[in-house]
Amino acid sequence: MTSINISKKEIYIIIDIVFSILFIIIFLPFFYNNSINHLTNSEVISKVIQVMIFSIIFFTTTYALLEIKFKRKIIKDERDYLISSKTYKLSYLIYNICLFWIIGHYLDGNSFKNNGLEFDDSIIFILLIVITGVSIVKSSYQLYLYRTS
Amino acid sequence: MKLKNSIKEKRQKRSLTQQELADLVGVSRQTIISIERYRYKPSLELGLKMAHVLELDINKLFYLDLENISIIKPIEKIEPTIESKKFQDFKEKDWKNLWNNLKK
Repeated sequence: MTSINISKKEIYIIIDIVFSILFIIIFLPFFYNNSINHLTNSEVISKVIQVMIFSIIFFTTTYALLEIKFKRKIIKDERDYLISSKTYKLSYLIYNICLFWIIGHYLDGNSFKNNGLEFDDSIIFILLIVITGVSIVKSSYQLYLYRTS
Repeated sequence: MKLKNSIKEKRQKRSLTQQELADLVGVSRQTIISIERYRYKPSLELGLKMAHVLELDINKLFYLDLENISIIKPIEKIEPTIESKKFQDFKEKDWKNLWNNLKK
């Protein structure tokens, strides 16, 4: 049986992807609910605190475990910078497209009133979807480049 | 036309592991693997560093795959058709020759 040879950098990227997926599963339903039922500020704030605590615990434990397993320090070289620049270019492009789509959505919809642009509660949900989606795409592309280039 | 290299062969000749070579040139082992498998083209700086570490000329470490290079021909030397002369030395016959050459 052949084992997959995976580097520390690639595990870091997988951790990022796992975090984004967990975030979508655990926390996004709440923000979706918030966009429909107009939850109170205190509920939203408590959820944001939960997200912060969850991310701190998640990253400290996973990174600590990773450091114990792989003791060798990560060396950043020209290939890493090349891959980073490629992935950031892609994520920047997707962000731009999404931003234009959001602006178009709000200008086209009922939110554009005589008083100016009014954002409803769904903006938080849409922005979170965009951020996590782009993060997953970026990390997956980065992992793909690390495996193939 | 492909940039090829003989890093693996030369590294093994010097009994160096991928990790040892990576440490010597200051890159990660994955970068060495990618270069050896022709998946990544290193910068000139990294290429020179590798050549220095392996004590080789860079031309012996990196080379072009000449199989598909037949389309590119070396530049032919153009022979001058007119003898070079100073402007003051030009006579009527020379002017006529020049004019005929230009007309061609």
